[in-house]
Amino acid sequence: MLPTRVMWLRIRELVGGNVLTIGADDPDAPHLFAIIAPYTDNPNLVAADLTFGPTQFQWSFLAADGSIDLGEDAISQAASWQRIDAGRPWTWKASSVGLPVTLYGVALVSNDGATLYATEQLPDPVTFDRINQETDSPRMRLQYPRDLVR
Amino acid sequence: MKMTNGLIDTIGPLLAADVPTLAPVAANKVALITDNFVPDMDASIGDFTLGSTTGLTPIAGVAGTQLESRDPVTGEVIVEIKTPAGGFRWETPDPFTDGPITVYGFLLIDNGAANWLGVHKLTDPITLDGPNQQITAPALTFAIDATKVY
Repeated sequence: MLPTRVMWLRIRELVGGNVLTIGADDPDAPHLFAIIAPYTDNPNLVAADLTFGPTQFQWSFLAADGSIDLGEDAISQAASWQRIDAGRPWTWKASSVGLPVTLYGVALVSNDGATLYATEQLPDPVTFDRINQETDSPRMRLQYPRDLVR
Repeated sequence: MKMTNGLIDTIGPLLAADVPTLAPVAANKVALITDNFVPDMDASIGDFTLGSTTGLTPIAGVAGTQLESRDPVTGEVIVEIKTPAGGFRWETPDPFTDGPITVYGFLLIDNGAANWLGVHKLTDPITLDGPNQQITAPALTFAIDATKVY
């Protein structure tokens, strides 16, 4: 069935606001991890399939408390859900430890890192080989079009 | 970001059990649509002409949580409206003095008929033009293609 607009948006509110998953706040807020080994976006991926950057060297973002933001793209009309990082801009910046590191994508994961919710593969991998090198990161954001439901 | 099954698998249970929409205490109803229409998620319930004569009035479904599953072929999340005893089945009375009436589709509405939730349009309209003619709704489902999330 084609849903009414209310139903179409309700999916975003239910899934995005689910405190048991991506809507959780501290101490269970989700992370955005760097993926530092080659992979391909696939719904069947699980956390164990991916190699994450070492979190102690800032290779992750943590969702800020109460940061769920719901919107609609003014041009595409896609519904969107996003969260704000707790501490810094959406930029990956190399520390001096563990270089070189290549960034292949990002992963939205549960606070304990055990459950994978979503991934975003970079069009081209980015290699960091010196301290303070940086690149913009995909945000902790999900969007879907008006024809999501039929 | 592209959803993985860690998140996709939460959509069906959340939507099927959503009290404000698909799982209310007072069961939603299914109505016949008896005038031609263009499916549009921005339509209001007043934009539809609903069956209202004897035998062709809205039929209440089943209160509470609806059915949910994953399509094994497409991977879509499927939320199916539970069929009440006797089915979503309408039959013209004898004598049938209100016809002919052409059915163009089925509309899922709330119990008080204040709002609609989903619409199914028939590929070929069906005209009821005599007594003891019946029409039964197909399985009424919302199919959600989570691969469209980005």
